[in-house]
Amino acid sequence: MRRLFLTATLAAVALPLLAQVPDARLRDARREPANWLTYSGDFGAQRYSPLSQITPANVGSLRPAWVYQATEAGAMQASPLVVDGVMYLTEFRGHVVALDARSGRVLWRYQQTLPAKLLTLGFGPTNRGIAVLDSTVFVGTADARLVALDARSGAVRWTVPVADNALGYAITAAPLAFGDLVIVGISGAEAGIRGFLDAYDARTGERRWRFYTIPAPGEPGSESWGGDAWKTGGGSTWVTGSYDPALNLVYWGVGNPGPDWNGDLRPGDNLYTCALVALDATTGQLRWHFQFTPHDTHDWDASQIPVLFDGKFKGQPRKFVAMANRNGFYYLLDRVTGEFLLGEPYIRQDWAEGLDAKGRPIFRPNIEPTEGGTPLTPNLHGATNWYSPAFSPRTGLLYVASRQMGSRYFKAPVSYTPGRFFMGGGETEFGGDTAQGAVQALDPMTGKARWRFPLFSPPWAGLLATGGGLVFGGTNEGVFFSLDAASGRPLWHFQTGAMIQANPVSYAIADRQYVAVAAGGTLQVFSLVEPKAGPKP
Amino acid sequence: MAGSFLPMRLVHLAPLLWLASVAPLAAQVPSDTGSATALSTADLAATERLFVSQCARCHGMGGTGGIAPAFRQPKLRRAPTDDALVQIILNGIPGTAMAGFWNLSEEEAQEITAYVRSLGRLPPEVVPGDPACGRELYQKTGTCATCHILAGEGAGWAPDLTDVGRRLNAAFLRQALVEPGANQPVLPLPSVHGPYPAYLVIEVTTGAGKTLRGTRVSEDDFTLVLRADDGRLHSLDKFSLKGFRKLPGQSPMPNFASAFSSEQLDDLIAYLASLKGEP
Repeated sequence: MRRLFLTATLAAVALPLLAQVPDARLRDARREPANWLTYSGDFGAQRYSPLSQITPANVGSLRPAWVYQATEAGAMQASPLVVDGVMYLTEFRGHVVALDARSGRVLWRYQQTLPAKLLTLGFGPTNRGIAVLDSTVFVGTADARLVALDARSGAVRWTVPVADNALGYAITAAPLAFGDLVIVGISGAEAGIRGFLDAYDARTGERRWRFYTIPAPGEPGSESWGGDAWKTGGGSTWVTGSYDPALNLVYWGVGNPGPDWNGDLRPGDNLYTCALVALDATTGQLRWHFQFTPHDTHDWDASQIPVLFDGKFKGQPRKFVAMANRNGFYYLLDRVTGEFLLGEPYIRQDWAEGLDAKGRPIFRPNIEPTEGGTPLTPNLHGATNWYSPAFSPRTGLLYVASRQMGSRYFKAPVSYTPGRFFMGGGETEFGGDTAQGAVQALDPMTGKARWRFPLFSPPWAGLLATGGGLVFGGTNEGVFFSLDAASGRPLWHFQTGAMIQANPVSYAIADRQYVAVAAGGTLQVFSLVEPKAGPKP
Repeated sequence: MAGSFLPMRLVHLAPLLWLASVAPLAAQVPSDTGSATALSTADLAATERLFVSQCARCHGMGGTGGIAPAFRQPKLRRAPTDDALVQIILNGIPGTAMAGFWNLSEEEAQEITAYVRSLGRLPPEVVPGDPACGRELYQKTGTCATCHILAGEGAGWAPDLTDVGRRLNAAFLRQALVEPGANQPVLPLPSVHGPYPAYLVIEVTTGAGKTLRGTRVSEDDFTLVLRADDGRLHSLDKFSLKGFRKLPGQSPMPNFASAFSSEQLDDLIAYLASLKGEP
């Protein structure tokens, strides 16, 4: 009873002070494991919680602590933030809600107003999360606006248009905030947009810079496009990137070229689609790029999380950026220079013989979509997708939820009409029981799997690694589960009642560690039945 | 992008394109347009392409039916009005495999609606055989009703046949009778990796060494719910099993290819095709 009382008192004291999150706290997010301050947990996007109360020995007694039921119908894909006892979460259609992270009680709710005529071509009005900086919460909207809310009340500070939704531009990704900037990615390549990444002044909403992912004629990289194809070249930036404060570089994955499956209209490598770009955070200038899939015709966006970590490669200390890419290969790059260090397939793919010394794929013949259909693996959803991998500094392993599924790719004639699909084909996937998934623990220095936990179907949920030695993940069939981070052995699972298509997070309040994940229209939060069973977090 | 999710269905379905002979069908569509949204010939061709890419995988080319209902019927039970059909296209039908198509604009949904209505004015499928004789076969062979339910009569664990003629076309029904393993039915459950086979036959060996064979009712990474051949449900922890074998291509449905003459098969199919359920 005494502990409960203490917890309640702390929460009562904490509430008036909440959400004072200066840049310094975000940079050192790892030093306050009780909070989850950015989309991926820290700027390096490791999705790792140092919390260690929940362990392989006691995870078997993990039980629901509370559940939040969204007001808006539709599956939640958001990864929540937790700041000093308050959880910030986005629902489907981008409503923002602040909850007491201990009890699940609602503190405030911001009702997102979207126009009746809304274009979300290739996705729905989903929202994957928010950013917090100082006492402001930032959320992008499905009609391509950026909104800043007071973190204490949900009141609007400012809202700015980012792009024209009538042309198919939309925002689904969580913004990334640091310094005095908010970085925002855009969706819409299936509508033939010209993609970009934007930075806004966190206080005023004024745009500081824009990096176009498709260079205009005369700019470096424009030679990789034919004719006017660059104008509708796609290159969305629809998954939140990472940031290295020491190098002052933002790392962001760029999506597929437009049209998706018919490459005839866009001869060339189509830079910077399906590439990782490293941008100067102050100016938005391109420092380097690495293209995973030149002239992509299979919708293999490089819209995965670029994970940052340091270590030694062939005896030399290096700063790394790693990406398990949608095309089926794992890549290790030097994040200072963009130098290709290593690439290995992590699923059974059949489109490339391998990678050359510079990391460029050696294409097999006859892989292009055709009118009659070309069977190929992976399918358009790739070997993994937008959901997050996790990197544990404790095990040194990169955990990836992977998809093993092929499909038949079709090509069709296509012409551009503003605000309409611009895809030029499609696919029939080889689904049902022929498709599978897996959680894989990759050795980031070799790309080889240390262990592999098979999944019933190709997943749509990300992973979380913890200091307690666990990996958490979710399945299409609604199971939230925990594996031993060292061996992949399943230790605990819980049927949440809805498909999981979100990334888990962990946080602590008083002396209790929580693990949270969205499932369907709910957010479900777990803790140990008996917190005394483990050491303090 | 397109990985973003659910509307993926668009992308799953975006496939067939206009490969097939679309033009002859367009020519068959009557020119009178009693429907709220009228379509010119040029619009019709465009809409037909939309239908082929978005709808035909389940509803068949030209709306002839497949794993989902045929549209060659003057009235659609769930869509008495054009507005109702537009709403179904955009929002889906909860509890069925029909998902909403967010990728379509309301205008496109209206165009598809007009096209579907035009299919409803085509002459219905001609099915050889005598439904009355088929009905007698259904009732007298005695085996159908041990698994299927029809207008409330019979056992209900196999698909309900009350309105099967509204949902499935004759070709599909024939295959189900003579080659039951070939056309695995799919569960009317939301699935994100393509159709999820129903009635999949699985054989397991339990931790105690007992062999169980039956059809899958539900499965995830940890749990298998199996309906054994004796009809009992078994909720199994997959990690406790010693053996686990999926047997695709097998079906709990007997093969009637040799049990009936081809005339009898025609009669039975004619009967099943005539089952439209409640008006």
